[in-house]
Amino acid sequence: MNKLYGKISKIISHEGISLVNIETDQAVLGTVLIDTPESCTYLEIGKKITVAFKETEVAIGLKNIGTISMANQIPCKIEKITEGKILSKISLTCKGAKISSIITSNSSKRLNLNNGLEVIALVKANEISLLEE
Amino acid sequence: MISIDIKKSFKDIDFNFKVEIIKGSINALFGESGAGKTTFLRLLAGLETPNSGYIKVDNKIWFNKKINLTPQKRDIGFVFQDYALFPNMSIIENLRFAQSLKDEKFIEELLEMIDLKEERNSYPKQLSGGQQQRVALARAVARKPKLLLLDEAFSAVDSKLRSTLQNDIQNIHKRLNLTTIIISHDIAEVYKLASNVIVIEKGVIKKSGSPDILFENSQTSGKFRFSAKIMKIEKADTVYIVTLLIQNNLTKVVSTEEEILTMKVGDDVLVASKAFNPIIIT
Repeated sequence: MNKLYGKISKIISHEGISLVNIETDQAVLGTVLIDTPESCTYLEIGKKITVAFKETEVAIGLKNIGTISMANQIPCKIEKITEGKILSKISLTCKGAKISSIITSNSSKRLNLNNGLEVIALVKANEISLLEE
Repeated sequence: MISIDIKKSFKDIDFNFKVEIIKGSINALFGESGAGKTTFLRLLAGLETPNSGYIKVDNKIWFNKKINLTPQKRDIGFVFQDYALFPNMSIIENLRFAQSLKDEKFIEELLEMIDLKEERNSYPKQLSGGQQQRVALARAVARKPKLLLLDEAFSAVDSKLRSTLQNDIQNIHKRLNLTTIIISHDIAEVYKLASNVIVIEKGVIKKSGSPDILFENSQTSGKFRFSAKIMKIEKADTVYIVTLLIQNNLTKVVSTEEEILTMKVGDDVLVASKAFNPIIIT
């Protein structure tokens, strides 16, 4: 599980669903939750929170991605690639934090990923969970 | 109405059970293991004696300072997980043996309810495990008790058989106008059967109410979250596959090497997913 740490900076709620922004050192990340500040005590502006997302939900984009719906974009550098027959694990560093992405080895080759390359880690807003510290 | 207010000190725990149970209701006891669910049933059945308090069933005292009815006099049907049928008696003899007042007509009715009319003269070892469990249930009610107690009676069966046994309980409960108390860890079962849930924590009844009170427990909130046990961890390509037991179902979750270092087979864990991921297939 990838974890980044930050503070809740914005909450918009409507009919039981909330869009929550979290300011981390690496990027401002947005998540969609089936919760509201009324139903969930830790949803409050300024609250310190852990942002968690699974490695298999992290896509990799090269610089200059252009237009894409995924707003959660974390600039990273590839630290290591562990290549398997089917899946490859891309270990990334970003402003002091480490995250990883598991993508198909085909995609890793197609993008010509290699150590030291600067990439963007992309995560869909509905794949990000919040954990109370 | 069953009114219970009893205290018992046992194995360093001070049990304090105070609750009123409506006649004719199905009640589920809910709580962690060691909370006192089985102790509560054993005290009700007269298999344990309270230190103080009273148990009153339909205005008849089962227990107080002066009175302590024996289990045989309490009008109770009890099914444990390790029920045992008499191996040297046929099915019908097992049912007859449980009756103090002979009632052949009711035995016929029970055999019909549990779908074992044809097998009446078979011996327990000739029946499947599921059929034996149905006989155990029928035997527990053969003398038309007022109160039926089920202590995780069906926790070790597959979901299809479990559903059959749940239907049996509902039918028998209705037919006999029983008051039933079941211990179950299966929330689906609690939802299906019980009109009232009694929550026990550390030997004390914390609350009692409609099954919706289970939602107040964060472990079972509306999200996709389950308690699970790790059964197996296998390397697969660059990732790991963790096999988990969630109630009676095995499931597999992909994990990474770093995460595996914090896990071992046999660990109890929580599996969670965002509410967005699961798909529902009807």
